[in-house]
Amino acid sequence: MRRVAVVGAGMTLFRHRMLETGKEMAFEASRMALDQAGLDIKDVDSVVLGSAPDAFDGVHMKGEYLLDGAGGTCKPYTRVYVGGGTGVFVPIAAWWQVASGVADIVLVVGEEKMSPLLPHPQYAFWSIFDPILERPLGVTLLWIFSLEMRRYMHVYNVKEEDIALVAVKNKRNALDHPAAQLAANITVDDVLKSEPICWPVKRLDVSPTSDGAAAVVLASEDVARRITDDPVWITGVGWNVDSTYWTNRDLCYPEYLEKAANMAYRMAHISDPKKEIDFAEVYDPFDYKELHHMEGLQLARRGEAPKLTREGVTQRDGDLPINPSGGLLGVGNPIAAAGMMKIAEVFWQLRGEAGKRQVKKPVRRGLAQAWGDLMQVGTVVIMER
Amino acid sequence: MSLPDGLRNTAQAKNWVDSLPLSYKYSAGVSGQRFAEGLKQGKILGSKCSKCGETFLPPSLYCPNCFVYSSDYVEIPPYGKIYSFAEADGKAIALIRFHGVTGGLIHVVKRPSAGRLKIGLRVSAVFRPTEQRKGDLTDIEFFEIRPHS
Amino acid sequence: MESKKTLPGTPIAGAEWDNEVYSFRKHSVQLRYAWDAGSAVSGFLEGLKEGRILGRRCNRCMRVLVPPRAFCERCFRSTDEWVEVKDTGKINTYSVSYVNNDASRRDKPLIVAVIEIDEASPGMGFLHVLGEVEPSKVHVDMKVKAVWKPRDERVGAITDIKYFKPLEV
Ligand SMILES: [Zn+2]
Ligand SMILES: [Zn+2]
Repeated sequence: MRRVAVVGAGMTLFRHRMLETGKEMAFEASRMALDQAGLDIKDVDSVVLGSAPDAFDGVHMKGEYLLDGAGGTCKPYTRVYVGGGTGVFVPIAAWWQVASGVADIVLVVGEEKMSPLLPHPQYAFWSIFDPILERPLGVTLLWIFSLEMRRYMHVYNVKEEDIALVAVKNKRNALDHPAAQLAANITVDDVLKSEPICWPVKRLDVSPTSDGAAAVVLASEDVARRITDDPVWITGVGWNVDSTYWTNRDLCYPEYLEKAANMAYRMAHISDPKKEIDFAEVYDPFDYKELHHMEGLQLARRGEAPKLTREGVTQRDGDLPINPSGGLLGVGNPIAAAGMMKIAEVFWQLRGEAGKRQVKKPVRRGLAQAWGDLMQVGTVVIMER
Repeated sequence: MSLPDGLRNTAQAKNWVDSLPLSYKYSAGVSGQRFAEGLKQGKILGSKCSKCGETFLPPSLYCPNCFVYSSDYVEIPPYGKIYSFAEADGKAIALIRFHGVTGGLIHVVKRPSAGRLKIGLRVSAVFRPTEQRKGDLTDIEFFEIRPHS
Repeated sequence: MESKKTLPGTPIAGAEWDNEVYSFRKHSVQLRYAWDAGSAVSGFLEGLKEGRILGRRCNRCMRVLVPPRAFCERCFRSTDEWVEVKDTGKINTYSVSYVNNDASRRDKPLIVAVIEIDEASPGMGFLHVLGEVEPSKVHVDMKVKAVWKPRDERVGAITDIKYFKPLEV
């Protein structure tokens, strides 16, 4: 296997609604990533795009529709999809190509335009449920998250206050992110008193729906050494999918994520992730998911993540900064682009380019993770300077 | 593959019928917005790339060849040629191309009072009166055959 | 990245969206589907019509799968036989929904739960709603029982069970 480097990253603003079409957002993020890498579209051997269900954009064959905006015209081009896990799966699918020698330079693009769907993007999620056994009950996406959150709270005796701390931290971190949609200084009390949507989930426990795009450029070692003094290496990748029978699973521990993480840790020769990972961008569409995922990633023992959060360990100046970008809760959640935002953040942090968001301790190794489908997929990328 | 025995006779296969009604509101995009504003003013706007010099219709925020921001929006004279056409429901729909422009417009062509539609015929855009224009392609009512083409 | 003061993108404010200061196109589609229930779920629906909850047993791992399936996804082989299980169970987890699936507010909150069905394998259960109980009285591990629609109103659907209600008083 060849070594694979990240050599550039770019993204658009994340906003509830954008004038740009999906193609235009994909172009803007891709152009910025190519500019940072000092590359022209002609240098790009292959393009991998990620985007969530077509039902959001309201364009079927969305991959093909977005092709020219992603710079993929008449190139080897692929769209990959694993629900909300897509954003961190796109670079994995691009990594295969560079590691195997199929391509030297791959443009990696995540795009999501959720705003077209009326009356609310939430409605598209209805179609992911079993049409016979679940939809007749009036199921919504929020049900499954709140059911998972409730189970997590029950098993480890976690308080809503502890979970709210994650929303407070991430929305505050996002104040320093130029793309942020929901950056704010809020208190635990604000979260607890926000409107209940699907108890225990309240308004401020949830990330918004968003339009946006993000992109990175991957290169082989030869190319990376030639074009940059500061490559960031992808040293581990992992992915894993559990069954869609989500009502038959342990809802308080994401076993599929543990398996995905272990796959990436083996590749990166990591035996004690809590000590060896310097910081992480974990998937946080809901505040409890950050805790859930820290545990699945074994960055915390089972049930320990709320305690680490309370003690400030996961703050930017803590021992294990989690979501220094501001995460989905603060920066926004254009699904596939949100996962790619995390990849870009790890890249910028490792290069010391994160500005006011830069974590306090020196960092050499970071992790990005995403999650999705019917609460069943984990995708993990480890990067090193 | 056959069904397991216990399953085969127990139940009649069933259908579950339901619907998925979806409504969308699409934004025109940055270049689409410029195009729409042009149409309202009775203009057909394309985008030009300063790197390769190509002009595109409909206009694009970026050059699909060079993958750089388009440098300019340019007005395209409303005279074109029928590149290909199809007839359905008594209407003729054509792909109309313009001199020196990549791309083109799909639109309705008004039949000539004498003779037949042909590939290569010269056509010109007929805009609706200003007050009827909405900022979309229907602001052009149709294309008509230019005399002596 | 920090050298770039502003990132690309043109946000549309709520009022701009509502008043359509930009050019928009609207389109609606009504997609209709007829999904095949498949052999296992068809049997399950037949059972519901008779007021019974049916599962399938895999004779290799000996799990009783509810809702039933034609194959065991762990052993990757066909399941072997039908098993009738009880119409009681316990709450694995629950929540209180204030919204509909289009994100609009409900008139009355709805309690939803994952219910582990008695006599199915541990952890096996399905999604349903709760009735005859206040949200504040519900707890994880609470014992519940199916409340069926009258026989002549049952059509072979998951909603033939109106809801589950607490067994305890
Ligand atoms: Zn060009
Ligand atoms: Zn089995």
